Amino acid sequence: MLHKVLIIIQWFFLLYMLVLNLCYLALNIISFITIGRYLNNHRLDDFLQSFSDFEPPISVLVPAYNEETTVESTIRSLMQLTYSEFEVIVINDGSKDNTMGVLTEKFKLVPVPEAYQIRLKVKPIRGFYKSLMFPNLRVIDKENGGKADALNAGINASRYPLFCGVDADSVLQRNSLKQVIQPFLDNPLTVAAGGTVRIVNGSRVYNGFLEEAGLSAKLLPRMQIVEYLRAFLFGRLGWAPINAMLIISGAFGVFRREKVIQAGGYSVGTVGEDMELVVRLHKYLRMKKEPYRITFVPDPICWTEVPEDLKVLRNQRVRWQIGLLQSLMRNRDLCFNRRGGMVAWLAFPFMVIFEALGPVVEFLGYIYTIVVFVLGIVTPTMFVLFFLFSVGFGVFISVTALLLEIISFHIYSKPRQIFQLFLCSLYENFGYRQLVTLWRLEGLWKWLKGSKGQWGEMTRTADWQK
Amino acid sequence: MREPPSDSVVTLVVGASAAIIVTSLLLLLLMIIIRFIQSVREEQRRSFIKTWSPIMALSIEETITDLPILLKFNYINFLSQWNIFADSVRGPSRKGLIRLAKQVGMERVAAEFLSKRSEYERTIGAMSLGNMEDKSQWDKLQELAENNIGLSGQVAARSLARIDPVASAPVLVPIFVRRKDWSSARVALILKDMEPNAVSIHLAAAIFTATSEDLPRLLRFLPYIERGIALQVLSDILSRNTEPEVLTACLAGIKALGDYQSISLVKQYINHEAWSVRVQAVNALGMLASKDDLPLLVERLSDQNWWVRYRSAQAICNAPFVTPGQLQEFRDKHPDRYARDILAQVLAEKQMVVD
Repeated sequence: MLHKVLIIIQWFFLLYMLVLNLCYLALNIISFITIGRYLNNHRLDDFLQSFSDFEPPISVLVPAYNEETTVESTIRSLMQLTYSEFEVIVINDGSKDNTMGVLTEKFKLVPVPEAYQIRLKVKPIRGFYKSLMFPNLRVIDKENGGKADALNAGINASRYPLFCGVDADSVLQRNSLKQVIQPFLDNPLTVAAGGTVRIVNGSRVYNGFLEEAGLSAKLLPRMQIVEYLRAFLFGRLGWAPINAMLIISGAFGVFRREKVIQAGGYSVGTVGEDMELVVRLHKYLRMKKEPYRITFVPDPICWTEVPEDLKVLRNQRVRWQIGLLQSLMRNRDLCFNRRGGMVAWLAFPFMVIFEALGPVVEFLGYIYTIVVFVLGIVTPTMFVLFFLFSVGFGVFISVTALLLEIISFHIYSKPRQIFQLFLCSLYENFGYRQLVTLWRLEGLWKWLKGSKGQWGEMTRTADWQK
Repeated sequence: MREPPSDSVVTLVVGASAAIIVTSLLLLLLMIIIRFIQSVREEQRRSFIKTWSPIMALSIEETITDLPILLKFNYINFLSQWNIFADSVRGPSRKGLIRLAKQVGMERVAAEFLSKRSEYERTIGAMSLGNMEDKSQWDKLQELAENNIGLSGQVAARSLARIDPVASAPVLVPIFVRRKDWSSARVALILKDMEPNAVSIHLAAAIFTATSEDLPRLLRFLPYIERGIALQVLSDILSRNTEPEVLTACLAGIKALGDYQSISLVKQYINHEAWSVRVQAVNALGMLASKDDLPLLVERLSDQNWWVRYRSAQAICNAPFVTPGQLQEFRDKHPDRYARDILAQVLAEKQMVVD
C-alpha cells in the first residue's frame, strides 16, 4: 500500500515537473519568435527618429524613503534624460534620514502652494516644493505611508497623461524614456509598458548613467544575472504577445494615468504593489470589456543593484514571494473568469500553480526524494539520473535565455563573459536554487501569518558608481 | 520494497539527460559562433560607415564620379546610412544624395526590397523610395500602405506623401480613417509632410462623413489643413454634435486655429455639463479672450472640477490684459477658497510676484 502511495506521489512530482518545463519551453519558443520580430523593427530605430516626434509628455515619479545617499545622483541623471517633455516628481515618503534636506540643498527647493487634487486617497501631504534649478522638478513631502502611497501621491500631483514609476536607485540610459514609450506610439490601446531591468553590479556607471556593462566578480550577483535574463527575456517576453503579462517591474514602468486612477491606483498595504497594479489593471479592463494592451520593451533600459550577500537576498526573495501571493489573492476573482481571456485562463493559473505554490511542491519534492532514497525505494542510479535530468533541464532553460540575450542585445558579449554565465547557469542548480526555494517558502509562510507591506530596505554597496 | 528500475525507464532518463546536456553544450557553442558572426558584421558595418559617410556628406555638395565598389551585402548598410542623411537634409541638398543613390543603383535595390519577406527590408525599401522621390513604384507603395499591418505600411504612406503630396491625399486620407491602429502622432507626422492645400478638401470630406466614433481622432488632424476650411468644419461639426468627446476635440481644434470670431462659439460650451468640454472651452477662451471675457474665466475658477479651475487660473495668469493688481485681488479676495488656492498655485508655478 505504502509503495503504491509513494509511486502515485512520485508520478505527481514528475507530472508537475514535466508540465512546468513544457510551459517554460512554450514561453521560450514564443520569446524567440517575438524577439525576432521586435529586433526587425528595432533595427529601424536609428533612422526612424523623425517618425517618433509628437511623443506624449510623461511624469516621472520617484518615490524616496531614506535615500539621502543616492537621491541626488538619481535626480541629476533623470534631469538629463533625452525626451521632449517630461516632469520629475520626487515623493519623500516621510524619510527618517536627511533625504528632504539633501533635495532642498542640492536642487534649491522652495515651497509652493498647490491646490492638490486628491483623486487617490493618500497620507497627509506636508508640503509641495519646486526646484529653482530645474523648472520640471517638483518634490512632494508627505507622511510615511509606504511606496504605494507615495506613488499614489505622485499620480495625484502629476500633470501628464502618462507616468513612469522609477525606483530612487535605478540607473537609466539617456534614451530610456524614448524606448519605453514606443509601445504607446505603436499602438494607441497600450495602457502600460514595462522595461527590461538588468543588473548593474560589476558595471561602470558615470553621472548616474551606465557607461559600460560588466559582470560582477562575485558569484551571487552573477547567479542573479542568469535569473534576471530568464525572468525578463522569456518570463515577460513570452507572456506579452498574448497580452497576459502580469508583472511590470516597479524599477521602471510607464502607465496611462487615467486608467490607473480608474482602476484605483496602487494598492496600499501590499509588498508587490507593482505586480498587484498590473493584475488589477488586467482585471479592471477585462471586466469592462475595454480593448487594451499591457506590453513589454525587451531593450535593456533600466539597471538595478542586486544583493551581494545572502541575508539581503533572503529578505528580498521573501518580500517578492509575499508580494506575489498578495497580488494573486487580492485579484483571485480574475482566475478562470469567463471574461478574463488568456490572463484568467493561462497566466493567472500558471502564476498560482508554478510561482506561488512552486516552492511548496519543489520543497516537498526534495524531501520526498531524500525519503525514498533513504528507504531504498529508488536505486542510487535512478536517484542520480532523475537529479541529472532536473538539473539538465534547468541548465537548458537558462542557456536558452542566455542565447536569447546574445542574439538580441549582447550586453555580455565577450566569450569569457558568455562562458562565465554558462557556468553560473550550471552552478545555480547546486545550492542556490534550493536556497531560493527555501526563502520563497518562508515568504509563503509569512504571508499565511499575515505579514504587512512595508518599504523594502536593501543595503546598497553602489561600488559601480563613479 | 526496493525495485530495480526497468531498463526502458533507465534508457529513457539517460537518453533525455544526455540530450539535454549535449543540447546545452551545443547552445554554448552556438552562442560563441553567433557572437563571432556578430563581431564580424559589426566590423563590416563600421568599416562601411567609415568609407561611405564622408562620400554621402560630400555628395550633398558635389557630384562624385570615383565611387568605391558597393558589394551586395552592404546594400542594407548603404540604404540605412543614406536614409539618415536624406532625413537630415531638405531641398536642393537632397538632390545630390538622390543622385548618389541612383549612381550605385539603389532605386532598383529599394524597389526589390518592397517585395521581400522581411519587414525590415520592406520598410527600408519604402523609406528609401520616399526619400528618393521615386514615383515608379507608386502602386507597390500604395499596396503596402493599404494592406501592411507592420511599420512598413506607415513608412510607405509617408513615402507616398513625400513623393507627391497632391496625388497621395485621396489615397492616404481614407487609409487614415480606416487604420485606427496607426498612432495619431505618426499620422500627424505624415500630414505635416503634405501641403495643407493638398489634403484640406479630402480630410474635410472625410470628417463630414465620419462616424461619431471616428470624429474625435480625425478632428485632431485639422491643424494640418487650411485654416479657413478647418474652422468651417469645426463650426459645422459643433452645430451637429452633442457627444462630449466630439465637442472636446472641436474646442481643442478651435484653440489651435481660432481667432476672436470663434469666441462666441466657444462661450456656448463654457458651462457644459461635461467637465472635459468645459476644460477645453476654458483653454480655447484663454487663447482667444479679450478683456471683456475675463469675468467668464474668473467664474470658472470656482468650477467643481480641478482641471477646469487649474486651466482657468493658467488662462488668467497668461492673459496680457490682466494686471498684477487684478491677480492679487483675485488671489486674496475671491469669495471661493478653491479659486484662491488654485490661483496661488499657478502664480507660484509661474514664479509670478503679485504682492
